[in-house]
Amino acid sequence: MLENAKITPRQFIFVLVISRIVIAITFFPVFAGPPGNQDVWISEVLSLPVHLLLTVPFYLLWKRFPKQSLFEYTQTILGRTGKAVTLLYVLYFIHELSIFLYEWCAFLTTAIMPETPVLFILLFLFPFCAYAVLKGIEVISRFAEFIAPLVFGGILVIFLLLAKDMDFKIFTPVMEKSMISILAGAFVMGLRTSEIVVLAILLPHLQLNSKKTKLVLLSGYSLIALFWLITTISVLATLGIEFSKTLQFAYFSAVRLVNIGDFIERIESIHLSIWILSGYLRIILYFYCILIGLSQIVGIKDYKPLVLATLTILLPVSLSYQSNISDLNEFLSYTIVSWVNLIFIVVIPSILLAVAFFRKLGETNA
Amino acid sequence: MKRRIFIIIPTILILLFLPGCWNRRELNTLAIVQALGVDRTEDGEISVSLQILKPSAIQSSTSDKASGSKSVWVVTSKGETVFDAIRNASLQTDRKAYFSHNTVYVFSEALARSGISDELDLFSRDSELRQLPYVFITRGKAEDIIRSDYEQEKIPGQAIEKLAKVSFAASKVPKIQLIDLLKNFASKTNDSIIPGIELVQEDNKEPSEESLKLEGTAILKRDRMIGWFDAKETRGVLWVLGKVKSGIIDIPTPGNENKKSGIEIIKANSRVVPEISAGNLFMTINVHVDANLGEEMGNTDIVKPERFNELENRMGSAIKEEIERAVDKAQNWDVDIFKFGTEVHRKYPKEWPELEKNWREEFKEIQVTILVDAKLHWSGYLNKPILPNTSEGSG
Amino acid sequence: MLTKIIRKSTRKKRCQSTEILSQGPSGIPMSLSKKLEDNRQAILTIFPKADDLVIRELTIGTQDPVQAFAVMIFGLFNEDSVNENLIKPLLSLYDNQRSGSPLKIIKDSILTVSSVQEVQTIDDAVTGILSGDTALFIDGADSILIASIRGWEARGVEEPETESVVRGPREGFVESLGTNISLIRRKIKNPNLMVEKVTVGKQTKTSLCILHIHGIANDEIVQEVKDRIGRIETDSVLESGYIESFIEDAPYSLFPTIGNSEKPDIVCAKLLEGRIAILTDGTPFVLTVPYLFVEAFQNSEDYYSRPYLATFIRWLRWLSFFISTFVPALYVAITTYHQELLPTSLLISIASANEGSPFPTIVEALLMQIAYEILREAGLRLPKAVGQAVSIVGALVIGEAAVSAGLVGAPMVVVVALTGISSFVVPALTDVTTIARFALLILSSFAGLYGVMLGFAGFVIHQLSLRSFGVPYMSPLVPLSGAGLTDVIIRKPWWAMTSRPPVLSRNTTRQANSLTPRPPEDPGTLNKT
Repeated sequence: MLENAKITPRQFIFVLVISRIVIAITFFPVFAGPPGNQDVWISEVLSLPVHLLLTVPFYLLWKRFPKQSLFEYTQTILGRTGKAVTLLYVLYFIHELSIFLYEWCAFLTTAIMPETPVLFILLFLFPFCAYAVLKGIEVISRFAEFIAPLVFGGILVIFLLLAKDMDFKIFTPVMEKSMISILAGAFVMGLRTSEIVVLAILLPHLQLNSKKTKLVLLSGYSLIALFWLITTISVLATLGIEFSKTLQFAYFSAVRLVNIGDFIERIESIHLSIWILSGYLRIILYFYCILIGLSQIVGIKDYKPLVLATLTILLPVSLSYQSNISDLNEFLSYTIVSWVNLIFIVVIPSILLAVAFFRKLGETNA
Repeated sequence: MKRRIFIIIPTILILLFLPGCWNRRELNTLAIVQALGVDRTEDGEISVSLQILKPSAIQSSTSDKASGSKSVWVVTSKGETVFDAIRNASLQTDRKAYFSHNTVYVFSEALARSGISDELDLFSRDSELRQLPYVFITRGKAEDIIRSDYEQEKIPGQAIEKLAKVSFAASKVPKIQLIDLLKNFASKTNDSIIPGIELVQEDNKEPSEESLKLEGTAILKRDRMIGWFDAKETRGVLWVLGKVKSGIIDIPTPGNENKKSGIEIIKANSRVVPEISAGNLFMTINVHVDANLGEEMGNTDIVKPERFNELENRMGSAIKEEIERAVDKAQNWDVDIFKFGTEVHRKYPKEWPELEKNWREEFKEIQVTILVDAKLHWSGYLNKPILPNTSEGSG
Repeated sequence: MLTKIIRKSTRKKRCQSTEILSQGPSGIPMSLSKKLEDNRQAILTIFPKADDLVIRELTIGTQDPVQAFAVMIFGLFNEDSVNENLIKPLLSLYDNQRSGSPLKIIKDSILTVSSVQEVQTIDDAVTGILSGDTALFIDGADSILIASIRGWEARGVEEPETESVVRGPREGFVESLGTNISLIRRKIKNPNLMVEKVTVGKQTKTSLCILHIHGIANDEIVQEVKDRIGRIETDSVLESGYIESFIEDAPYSLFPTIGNSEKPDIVCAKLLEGRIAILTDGTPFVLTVPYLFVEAFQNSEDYYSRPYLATFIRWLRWLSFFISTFVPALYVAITTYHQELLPTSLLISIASANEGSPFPTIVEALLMQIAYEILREAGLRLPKAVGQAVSIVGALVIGEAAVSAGLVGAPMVVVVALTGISSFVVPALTDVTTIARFALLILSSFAGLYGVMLGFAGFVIHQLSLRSFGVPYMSPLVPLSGAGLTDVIIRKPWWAMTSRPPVLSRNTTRQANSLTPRPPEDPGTLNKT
């Protein structure tokens, strides 16, 4: 289903980065895994090499099949069973999207619109998603490029506004726990990045040679690490480690504290605006991946007829995920998520890579 | 088929919108709360007092204070939990209470003595109640504070907020926001301080005319109040915390011991350095103060090198004494209000887990050394007293 | 079944109507005859009733006189010129000693007219007559002479009302195609300025001219423009807006993808950047293609003044656009859903002002916006004399009285006034802001800030998917192009604008790099006092 869309490197980076950092500004899950103390920033810096490492299987697969997306080369490699793998990934995306929609509704209902029922929030959202997705991946990437200055600027502005309340001494003592714990934390953080799978689907649209692609990936991950760092500092330096652990939406709580000269206060509106826009981008991105996968399975060239059908599936599925917040917290804790993502990001592509290697499929020289 | 879709989807959407919007609140359906007081009644229930704004009584441009009509009114209600009490207030207010613009929390001492964290849970959890308002403890009933009037401002709740903000001028009362309390609670060893607020009666005014005044500091052990510090002791605590921004230290004037000089503090910061040696914990408190000569009662010619240096020394010892009193009292009561624990954690992360377990004991045993570096800079517009003392000769 | 019958009957009617036009009212085919009288009859038959048709019989020459008649339409031809340059030479200078047929002699040597053509059919002659030319039918000739001696009352070149400037040329286009082209030619003296003439519209036979500069404009876009215009088949083209609606990229979109202007200097500047201009006879509004979103924020005056103020004003324009689109929706969203986002003192002011108001905020907002739109539209149509009274009435009634009567809160009036004034800062996008404002207002009343942001996202997605003749509508913002961006966010001084926007033209070098103005090395040499 390679529609002839071309994504510029900048758009590619922004799509991935914004999709990842929207989680940071919602749930702030840095404490969900090791090391769980003031050294999380080291883990975040180390997440850069971890991300690069985790991308290796997909990257090698891309080098073998530069013009095919994940959904296409599963079929090339495995034949008919490839469709089963594609279906597995589609289910993975539906799962990820439903989780995010759950987080979306959780944040909206807790922070700004408590009485609005979840059904309305989702139903209001869906026409906009359908519209965006019908326009294609080119428009989605352009949208990412468009909101990137708003999002990045917003996060930086919030960081600057919180600067006067920051107390950097809370990051001491450094390396209180062992390096192993910190490294484990880096791995956990890296494994949360389901965007790596999205990457596998979008890389063929990038149409660059492998050297430039490596550069693009490197800059994307560096930006992710940078912004994770900025948000972490914004939260921890103002709220303190212990208190942040008690908060459900730590970044939002930190934003509420901004008060400069009694004039610049209550800037949650900035945070809300950029959060809605970035979350919207993530939703349409994952939605697009689901549609591409489904159209590949069904075997049609154009995914547009599937939009309505997919929405009708998505709605009850995401509603069924909406149990209570304690279940969500439990699920998002690092044990379950890490293993699930490990399978999809590393294990399955490695298997695919091995099969391709032995069957001598694809281009062997990049 | 396509046409049917175009009909069905908009219909569904419109049907969704018909029942109305769940979160929409018109401004004139809100009771904007400006101050919140929590008491405990004799039967153990929570009593909550809300100071609610009356927007119609406020004219934005023509502020006519003597117009007579009060711009706030107070509602008291009871309940088993704080949230319950607040919702019960809606039985009396014709508008739903709206807390996002509340800036003041007042707790009664009686409530604080039995532990305040229970009540504070709602204030951190609920989305409407924010963490920036200022917290106060009053010796009497919180309700009285909420009901009080204030000369300068139309809205007494805002007056209390501004009182807190201006308290830096004397630095005898701390400025505590809810977020500070919450941060301290989350840490396992820090204890909190909360300023006290009272209704006082001026001597030459009518008994019904009382006014608000910040007085004293309530000391909490974890979340229970155990006592009060007076003004000087509070300042001692604030010296250590590095929160003294301004204030006056009065010391006897060198050369004229019966009269006092007032030294105005310009800037002060502190550093706390822990040390562990031979199994004992030592704490050195370094305080650096910049000050100016603010006032000299006694017409002494004081702007001379020896006198100035003497002033500096006396200033240093006055500050040291304030800190010593505060530290002694805190150690007696066994409350780590100076965040010593955090400093030890920072410097000795390996030893900390052990120390943390018995921090109460450890804190009592800490040997504290206080080093004050006081510097006196300017002397205002005068370099000689207004009424020179002739017996002193020319200066 | 029923539809089939209906379709059949309309098809016949449609065919009939097209057939009638090509044959003359009575259905008799008209071809040129050698006999003058037949031609005369033909003309009188083609024009069933045209009292303004002038037929001047001529007897040309003294020896072997040749019969002829000239046909023109009163009011469309220049009387003096026709008298002097057509009739007078024919009557006095004809000399049949020259070689050639009478027609040839007349055409080559007698008529002192700068533009003479030969046409073969009466249809073409009629087209010419209807355009103001003079047709000369000569007895025995096998073609008709068309002399272009047009002249009619037209508006003079004056400053356009819609685009007035403080500094800059005050010429504006007029309704006559020839004059308009001359205004452009006087500014661009380049033989590569290609002018191609096209006729559209069956009844109006409007002339269009497509202009571009060969070598700067993109040839594929030029071809696309010509193709699209060629596909137009309609009755009438009275204004360039008709053309616009036929050739635009996104007919259902809210956003204009074709620009227009009344001023020659603007159109020439756009031509020099690589755009294509379409001039339409009968209207002073010239279309420019491709059109980008950011062009709405660029004003010609920016380029004639110094860069600092121009840059600041540009930011102001962007700000005004956002204000006029978002402020009503944001106001409703924040005061009804998210009161915690207002500072306390502001909240108190708004709350006390809205205390007695009977309507919910959204209803208030809608009412005031609609009242404002009515006022604005009325103000446009008013004769000048009444204009003053209406503005006073509007201000008094809507502003003061509504507030004092307690119908509307004062903050609402402030909001409406602010949005109204800001909407005039960017005139090209007025329809966008008006519709978008209402849409966002409705969305905000349903879902607060959530609705506004999603609406914003929806509009942005729509804009990002638009292309104007192949060029992405939101360039140079997205895809980000640094070179293009310098003309959007700031206004680089002329000596620094060394390149043309790359999205429009492949020929990007405009001028040399080192044109920064500077005084001579030793300034004293200039001032020798």
